[in-house]
Amino acid sequence: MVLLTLIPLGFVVVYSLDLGVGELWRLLDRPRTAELLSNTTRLTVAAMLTCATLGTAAAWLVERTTLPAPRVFNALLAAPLAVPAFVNSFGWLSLTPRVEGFGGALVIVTLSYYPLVYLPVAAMLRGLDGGLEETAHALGLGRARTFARVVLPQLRPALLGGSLLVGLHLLAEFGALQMLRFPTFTTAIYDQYQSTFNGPAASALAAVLVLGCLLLLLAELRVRGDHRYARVGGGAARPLPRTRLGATTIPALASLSILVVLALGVPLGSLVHWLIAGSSTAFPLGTLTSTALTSIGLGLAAAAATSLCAFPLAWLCERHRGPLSTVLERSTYFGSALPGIVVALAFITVTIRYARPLYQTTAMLVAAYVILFIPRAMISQRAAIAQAPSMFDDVAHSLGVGALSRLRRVTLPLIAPGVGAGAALVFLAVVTELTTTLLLAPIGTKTLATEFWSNSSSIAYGAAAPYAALMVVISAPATLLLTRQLGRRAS
Amino acid sequence: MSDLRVRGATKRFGATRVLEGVDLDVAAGELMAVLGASGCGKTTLLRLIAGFEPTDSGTIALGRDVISGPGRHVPARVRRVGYVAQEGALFPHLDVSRNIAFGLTRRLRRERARVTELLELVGLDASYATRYPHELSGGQQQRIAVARALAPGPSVVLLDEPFASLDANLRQGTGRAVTDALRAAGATALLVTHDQSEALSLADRVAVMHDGRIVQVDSPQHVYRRPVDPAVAAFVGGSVLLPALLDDGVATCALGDVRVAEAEGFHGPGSIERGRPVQVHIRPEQIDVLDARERDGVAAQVVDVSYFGHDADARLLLGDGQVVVARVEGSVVPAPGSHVRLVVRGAVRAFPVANGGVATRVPRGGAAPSWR
Repeated sequence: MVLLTLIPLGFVVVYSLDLGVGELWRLLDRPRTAELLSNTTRLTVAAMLTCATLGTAAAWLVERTTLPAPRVFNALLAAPLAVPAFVNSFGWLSLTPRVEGFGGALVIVTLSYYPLVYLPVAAMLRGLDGGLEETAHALGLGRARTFARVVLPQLRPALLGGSLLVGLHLLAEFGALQMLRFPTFTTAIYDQYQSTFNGPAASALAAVLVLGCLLLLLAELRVRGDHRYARVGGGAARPLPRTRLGATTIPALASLSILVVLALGVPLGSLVHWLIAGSSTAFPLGTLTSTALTSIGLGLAAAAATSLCAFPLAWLCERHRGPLSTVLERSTYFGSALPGIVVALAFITVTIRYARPLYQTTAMLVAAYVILFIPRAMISQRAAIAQAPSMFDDVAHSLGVGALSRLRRVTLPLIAPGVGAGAALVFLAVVTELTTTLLLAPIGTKTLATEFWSNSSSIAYGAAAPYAALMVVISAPATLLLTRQLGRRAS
Repeated sequence: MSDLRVRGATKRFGATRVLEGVDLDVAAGELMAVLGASGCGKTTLLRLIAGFEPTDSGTIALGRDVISGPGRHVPARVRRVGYVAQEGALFPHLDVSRNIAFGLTRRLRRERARVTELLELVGLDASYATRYPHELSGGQQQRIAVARALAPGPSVVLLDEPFASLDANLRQGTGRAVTDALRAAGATALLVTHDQSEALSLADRVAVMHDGRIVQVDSPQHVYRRPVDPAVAAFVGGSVLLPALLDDGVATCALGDVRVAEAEGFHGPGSIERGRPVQVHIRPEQIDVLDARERDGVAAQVVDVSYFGHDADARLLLGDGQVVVARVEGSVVPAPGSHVRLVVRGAVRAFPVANGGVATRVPRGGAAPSWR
């Protein structure tokens, strides 16, 4: 299982070693590579900064000020997660072609990914001990200095963790950037692969991309590992006083509303527009149904497979914590943080060379989904298993209940909700997944994402819209779940 | 209900020896408290009896059945041992009635009467049956946990610090309700705790445990009045130790001549030896603080006072520089710096002098001091 998750990483390493440093350099030493590197780095760094700023500011307004209707805003600000980035860029692009290029790409990816910062920072702000800030005030610090010296340091794990997650998503982002004609490593790998069919150039680019991901991952592990801000001492945390907005209430409301309109209103509005405009052409009910069923079927299969694979690992990590379980957990994490395009490339190469019959099968596609999304299942399952500590086993044991009966009457009922939530998250991710599906789906297998993609690539906006709308509708409930989970993780 | 016998039980985790030959007898229907500081091995002893861990050597028997012994480890689920964990460990997905009925057979689980009977036993209304654990207070959760443990009619009930996580004001009432339920059920019970007042007030007998061994098993009064050594004495209550010379049942120390209770702890011919150096152990409440104008007793000066309301601990400086603690009534607290006279009331304990030297220990406040 763990070995499976390491296939993509292993592929890149082995391939690079195989090629040799000289050859690798020859492949990469081109003006085109420099441009890709510059594009990728610029966009990643810029988007991490804009998401961090936007996410923190929005979180502060919602959680720590007297802004009206904070709950409504909390839901609305997290909702863009339900709209895949490539649907978002479709929405913008179908309105105006001016969003192509760096500026447009930055705006759109920021609007798509700022919730990854917003959610953990908001959860952190919610969980802060107001007593600390009061202490700072009592020590003579003003409001601004208290925020800088007391609040911000405590937000650091959430802020950095969220930003690095944004970075990882951007390195992997394909659909949105391809649509906006902003070439990065990921889109270039795809183009290389399409034109030369898995040429060495694509793999060389993949090696650079993987290096970038690993750097971000190491940074994230450091952020997660080093800093745990526990509250010192017992007693209840003091509730937080909210900052009075007063005259600034209207501007604050307006700016958050504009953010919601841009991030949610524009893509959904343009979907509705094209649904209506496109209905003049024949509504392809048959294809729509069959692709939706394919997407749902793949989602269910992947959710089941991922949950099954994740469970032994989650159990090991919660119940038998030790060096071995840590290594196993970390390796699935590394394997899964790689961009979908690298995972897809690795699977294609490996199956063509060593497992030809598996090439272009649904099984392989599902296996790739398992690798990509296993951490989502793991997080939920671990939380669930932690709800059923071994103390319950002891009690059940002493009451004369055997192992099987204990599983049925105690363990399963307690962990079922968490396992289900994890499966739902995997389902959501699979339904909106584009890159890997494009590359690995067996010929003739059409999902909502790939149908949307082929229609929107040929600028058939009206024909593409129903697929995107269905994707959003299917993924909305699971997004709500993810929102809750991301919100809890940091607190 | 059966009696419980532990003989020479040992247990080690890696290189750490946790239990070093524990002997313990609990009579049928008796409530025994195992009292010890944290880390002394008391919870491990409980887990060995429950069958959650195998013993390294020694035997454990319930009635006539050896449940743990050389080459024998009866699994926990067939031992018929009730277990109450520290936080109750009620199953959060089951309501009260299904928690209580958890260990019953399928047929008995359907009968409401047994659940109602058990709820009544732990002093709770039948209306609690449909509540969920998160709707209960900590004390109620513990009572339900006890009811659940009693439901299948276990041979012995084991309670692992069952009141430690409760608020102080809930602790006493819950402790009383739980022990009443155990007695009403006629259960043999073993209660593990680090709280000496809990052990002394609830149990029929107290086993004091230290460093993986049982050092004394006695009634609560005897453990408090006749501790086997200064360490036990200090653990179960406030304690003043003074060097003294023992002469025919009377010890001469800095607090004057005090009567020694039958020179317990001095077995053998040397027990009435004249002029023998000993340590006397005096409880703070045995020291009366008198007005300085009185003629009795020895002179002392009040250093400071810890006031508790119902009573107070006064630290007092003796003429020879030693400091002792006396417990005085809350209504007559002496002022710090004032001069008083001290008289020891009743008989005291005398212990042989360890290593020839004499240690003076003056714990503050009468709360449980540490062992060292």
